[in-house]
Amino acid sequence: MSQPPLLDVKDFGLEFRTRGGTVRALEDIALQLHKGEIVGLVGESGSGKSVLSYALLGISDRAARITGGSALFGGMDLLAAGESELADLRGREISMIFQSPRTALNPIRRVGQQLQDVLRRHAAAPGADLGKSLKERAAQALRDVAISDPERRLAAYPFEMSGGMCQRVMIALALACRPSLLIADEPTTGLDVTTQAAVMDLITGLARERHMATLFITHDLALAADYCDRIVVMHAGHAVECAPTKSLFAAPQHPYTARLMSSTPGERSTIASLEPVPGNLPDLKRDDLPACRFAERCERATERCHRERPRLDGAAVHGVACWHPLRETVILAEPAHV
Amino acid sequence: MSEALLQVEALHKRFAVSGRRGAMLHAVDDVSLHIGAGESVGLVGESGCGKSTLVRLLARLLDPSDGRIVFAGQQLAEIRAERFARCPQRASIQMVFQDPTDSLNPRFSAREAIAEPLRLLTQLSAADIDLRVDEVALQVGLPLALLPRYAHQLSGGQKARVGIARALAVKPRLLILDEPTAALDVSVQAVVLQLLAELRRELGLSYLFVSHDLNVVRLLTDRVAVMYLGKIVETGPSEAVFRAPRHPYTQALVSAIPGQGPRIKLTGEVSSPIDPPDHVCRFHGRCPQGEDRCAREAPPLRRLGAREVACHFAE
Repeated sequence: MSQPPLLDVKDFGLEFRTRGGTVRALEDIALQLHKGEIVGLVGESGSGKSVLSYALLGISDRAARITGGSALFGGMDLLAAGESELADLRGREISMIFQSPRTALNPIRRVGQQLQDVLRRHAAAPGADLGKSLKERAAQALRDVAISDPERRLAAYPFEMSGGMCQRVMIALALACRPSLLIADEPTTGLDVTTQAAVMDLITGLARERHMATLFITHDLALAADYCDRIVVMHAGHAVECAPTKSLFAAPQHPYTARLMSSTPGERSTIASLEPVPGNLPDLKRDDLPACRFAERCERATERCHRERPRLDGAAVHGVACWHPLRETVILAEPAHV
Repeated sequence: MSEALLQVEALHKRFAVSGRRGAMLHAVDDVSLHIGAGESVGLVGESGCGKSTLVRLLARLLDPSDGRIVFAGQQLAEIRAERFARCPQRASIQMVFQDPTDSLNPRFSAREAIAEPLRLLTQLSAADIDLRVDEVALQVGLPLALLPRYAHQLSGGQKARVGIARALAVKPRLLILDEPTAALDVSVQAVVLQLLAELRRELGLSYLFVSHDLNVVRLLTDRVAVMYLGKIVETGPSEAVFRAPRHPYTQALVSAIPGQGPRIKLTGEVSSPIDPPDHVCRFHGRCPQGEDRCAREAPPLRRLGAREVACHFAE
């Protein structure tokens, strides 16, 4: 891929000032997304996945402070942009699908009104079809996400719809203005496997069709494997490994990635073959955090890991932030997953 | 087949629908199920299929409309739910709830949470209760030093252990686990699953394991029952059901597990559970192989070797 990336995040750091101390939530994040690419951002809760996506949209908590880095989106630095610039971008160029559709949708407004809000805000957006009424365009947005009888559904309130249907509305809202970058934050958590498959097919189908870059945030490695071109693994506010999906699963190089895989129940795993990740995520308020934040949980850690931070090359095909990657040992083993 | 610890026959639960006089929602419709002593049975199905209602009936938190629940030779269906809370059998059937954060009283320390069922259901003295709490905490791998802590001072995995410990404290024979790991991260989930497998082996417990993570169900159960819209549509040994599902719904469910390759896509909406017609298969309309016969004649659960399948076309 010789084109410059659509989104290029470099050396990005963010912390939260809290009464209990400073939480170093993200450090040295490097991440690239190309047009039309679906990238999975995978990690346990507390690893900083959502914090990163909120920061990109400029909707971080007020206690958040950006400590450095840049996030170039089509030549514009999202981290340095002003609120009005970001507001023009949000919903039009960059959209987000939030985790629980029931709480993210406004419970006292009809679906159609909520869709029209987005369309009206960005009415002057290039490509907006001004020949059609807002209502027609809202109905079209619902039709695009395979909701049957969209004209009738426009009058529905979120509580009148099933969880899967609410998530479709959420997707319709996010995609109404045809953004070039979609951030989907755990879009299927809480949905059934059958609904999950339908929602994921829908999101990735539209992404492919519209050549939209998608950042898919999940804690489910197996799900990411099914739908993503590339996967970035996060641990405790660091991006520890990024690789094309196939090569990540064939030969994970970071010990954390490998552990995450062997702790996920798969088709062939048995209760004895599950290998939990030892220990817990470190407390990010600590002053004495090891340079590699996985060091205290890692059986390969040496003194260097505590002292010197391994860095991930965001532009590398298969990058790993580890002084002692697993390359030689794991490549011989059967992939832990699938 | 081991001797049945729990035998459920033709169990029904119907709820009145508000605003529609006479309309009934059939949440659990003619369900029969048995769980042997020491056996672990999985219950899977989409949300809204009646899993949770069935679980609440079996845990006797809810009164059935019809049917029999026989536990260790005793009829339980007739005991009203509010009386059951003080019955000696209450201790034999215990439940581990879904979200350990929501199901623990925030004003109770871990010790108080585990001790509560002992205070309510046993005659133990305060000193003996303390001893039992220590014992069961060690069993579930909860360090004793954590017992004075409140729920918000514990990690997700530790709270899950407290939830399991309080269910085990009164020495149940059947443990009903309702999505016990759904709120946990994979790395913590793995630890809790291993703990549950070990406890079952050590204590000879029976499990009813409810989950929509089919890979987790497969790991922890001997047999599995698949529910669709209030009815059981397939049962059988877990390994066999997941390897070669026979009901078209199970086939779609198994194919939807991530990392499986080609998926069977279901079209159409789930039909309504309110006064469903008796003669139509519940899966009709969504089923990839539905035929006219399915709309005329609802398929009963048929025995096929070690399996039971409710489909005209299963062989």
